[in-house]
Amino acid sequence: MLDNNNNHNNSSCAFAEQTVSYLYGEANAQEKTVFETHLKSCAACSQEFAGFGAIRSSISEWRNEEFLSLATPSIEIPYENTQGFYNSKTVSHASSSWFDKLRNFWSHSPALTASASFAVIAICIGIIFFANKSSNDLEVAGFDNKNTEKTFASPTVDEEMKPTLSTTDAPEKSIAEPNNGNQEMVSQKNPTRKSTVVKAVNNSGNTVKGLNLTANTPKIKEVNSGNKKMLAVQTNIIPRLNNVEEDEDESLRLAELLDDGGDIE
Amino acid sequence: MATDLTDEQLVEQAVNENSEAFGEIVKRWERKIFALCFGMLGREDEAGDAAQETFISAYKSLKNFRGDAKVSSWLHRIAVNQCLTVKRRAKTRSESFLDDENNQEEKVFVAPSRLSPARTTEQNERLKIVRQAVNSLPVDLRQVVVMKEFEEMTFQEISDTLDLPLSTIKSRLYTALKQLRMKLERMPLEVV
Repeated sequence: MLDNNNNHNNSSCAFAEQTVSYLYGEANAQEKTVFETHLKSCAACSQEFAGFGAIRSSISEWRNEEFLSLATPSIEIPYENTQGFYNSKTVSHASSSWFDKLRNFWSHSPALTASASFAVIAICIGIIFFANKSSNDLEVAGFDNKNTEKTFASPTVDEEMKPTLSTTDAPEKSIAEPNNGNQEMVSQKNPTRKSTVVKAVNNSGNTVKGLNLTANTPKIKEVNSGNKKMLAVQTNIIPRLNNVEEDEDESLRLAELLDDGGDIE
Repeated sequence: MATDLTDEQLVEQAVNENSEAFGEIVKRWERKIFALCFGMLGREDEAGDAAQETFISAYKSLKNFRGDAKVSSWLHRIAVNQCLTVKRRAKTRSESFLDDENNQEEKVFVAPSRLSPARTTEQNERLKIVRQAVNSLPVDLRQVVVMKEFEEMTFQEISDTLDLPLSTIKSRLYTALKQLRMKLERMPLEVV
């Protein structure tokens, strides 16, 4: 028995390498043939080989049941030369922010970066230029509109009809054609005094002649009050004083009349 | 690209503070090292810790790495040492997996009829027995078994990794299988 065991052990030891090579499928063709031949003639080796096979199956079962389903743990390396840690789970799909990606994109193409910068600057300059131009246009338009409004008190006002103040030897009577009955004729006799004649146009386009602005013209106020539009025209027009004599009374009166015209509105 | 370089070239770049190169090494070996640690320790949490410590230790000792050894040998050596450290630490804390397994051995094998009739329980018990048997092997024998069964390396690869002759590797595996057979045959449960 002991000799058999010794022989068994010796043969097993002799075939130890062949046994494991054959068991794990790494024996070459010659080794396979030799070992298979030996197994047929050696019951001990056959039994041992069978036992090894069972153990290997158990270990494989242990690995399959408890290890294969495990995920590889995340390995974190504290690098000394970089910020933070290396993580094997996140390095492949690195969480670089959109900003990093954008920066990398622009850093790879300097020509594109330069042209894009130039285009941005040109666009900004263009916007500023057009903005200034638009604001200037608006100012001019606003000014023109303002003037038009002021002079458009009557639809038929034109240069010829603009009332002018001139000192003439105007007739005593002045005729104002009625306009919707809103006008009143005023005339004052004052032959001794020079009168200021004002020509105005009413809203229907009729020329109202000879508003005789004399010293005694308390009724001008009434006339003026009767036709606001005439007065509106009148007040908007800057009176031209031609050959104004330096007469204190007359200048004062004119001032009074102008003031009254403004008040009536 | 880093993927086209050998392990030794990557280590050389990593020595020059190229973190990306070392990252490639980690990516190549993390699964195998984790498998080795799991086979050596038998527990997922301890295996994860040991794998993490392996790569950290490797990174710290990059400058001490000599080009005469293979990177795989270097990493496996560090991993086995880390497994021993973790196991020793667990023993010190009286939370040793192996000790627990040893204490429960008799309870498990008092009588088969006391075991749960459920197949999953039976399977779990069987797996626990195998795990315990492997853990009881000497470190050098256990490492060869784990590298063969868990890392699925060839004899030549194991020989290159451990820097040992091919015959030595085969002989160690034979001896390990023989001891496992003796341990398992003593147990009343069928192994397969």
